[in-house]
Amino acid sequence: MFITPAVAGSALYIGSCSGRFYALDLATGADRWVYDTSVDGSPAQFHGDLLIAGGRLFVGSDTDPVGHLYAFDAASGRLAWKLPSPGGVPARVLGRDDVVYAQTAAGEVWAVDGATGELVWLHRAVGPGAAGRRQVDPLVEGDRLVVGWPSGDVEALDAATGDLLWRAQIGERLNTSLAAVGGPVLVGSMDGELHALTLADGRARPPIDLGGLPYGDLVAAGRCLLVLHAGDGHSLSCLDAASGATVWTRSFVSEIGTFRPLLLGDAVVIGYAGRLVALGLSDGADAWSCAVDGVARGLNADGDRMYVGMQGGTVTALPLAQCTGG
Amino acid sequence: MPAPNADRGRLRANTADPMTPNATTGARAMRTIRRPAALLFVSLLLAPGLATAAQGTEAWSRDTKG
Repeated sequence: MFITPAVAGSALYIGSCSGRFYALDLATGADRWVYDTSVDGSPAQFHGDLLIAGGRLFVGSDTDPVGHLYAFDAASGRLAWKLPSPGGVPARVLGRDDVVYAQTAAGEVWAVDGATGELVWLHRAVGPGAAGRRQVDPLVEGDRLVVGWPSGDVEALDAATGDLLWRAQIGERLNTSLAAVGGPVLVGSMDGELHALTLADGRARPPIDLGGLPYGDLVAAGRCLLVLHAGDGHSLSCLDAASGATVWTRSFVSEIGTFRPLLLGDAVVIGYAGRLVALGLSDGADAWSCAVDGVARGLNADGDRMYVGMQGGTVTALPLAQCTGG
Repeated sequence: MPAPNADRGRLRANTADPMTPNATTGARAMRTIRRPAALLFVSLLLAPGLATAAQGTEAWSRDTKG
């Protein structure tokens, strides 16, 4: 499983790569409700992170030939509506006011009324290079929705109307989520660079050479932008959000398998095969580490426990005190 | 509930992604770094936590089989 587990109320929500979406009791891990996507044709996978708003849970599934954008009642699991798309919805679902935004593998962006499932607007990317199940997570910034396509196009849309405000071509395949940290839109690409585009008009700023392939989600932590990248080693860097300068970098022998670094107090948690590691946000120094049984992919936490989705399909609730020694 | 786009049949022609090495692997998985299997094996051996994988440290654990 690759999705980030979500905590809401007394439940943990997570989708698997074997066709099922789970709401689990936070205390025990027992099923609250389960949705089996086999009823929609074929078992689908859940790679994009979910959205919980107004008592509803919105999540995209992806598979061939057809995946879906789902809306469930978060408490009961009752299916409120579902919308099909060729290849499905492989990226993070976003929301603003009562509207849900989904980027599809067919190269479309949907704005959907979260209550009814009715389409508010639809934007279609230009060219066949935008389609595919490898889509990067979009971004809502103010009144704008910014999306990136496998073709290297980045587009800013009016979140209310879907009108295209600008389009910029990166020139390389995108390989990270989109992010904005008090200024430009940032995205990493296969050429090893972090590209910066002015939010207002998409004008390119000088890119940042990471010296390795950026991947996963860009995470903002104050003035620090956390970026995963792989080159000679497998690294997490904190870049100064204003200047792009590297504040610190930590490198590991094993691939960092957690695609979204987890912010936890004044630390950031990542995982690789068999271990979770917490690093101080200010300097990247070791804060604590913890053994886990498998390759961690998705991370989340509440007051005293971490929730870890493993590549092999296991979901684990891990008392923080067992990691921190507290 | 109608699909938000009535002409999906036309769009289906655009869904093939020749750069995607394995469509069943999934979007996030495909973002990982591809390395030779031997190198991956060496990396796993060097992972410091592997030899001390947690036993009994979980409050609970569930297998979703995927």
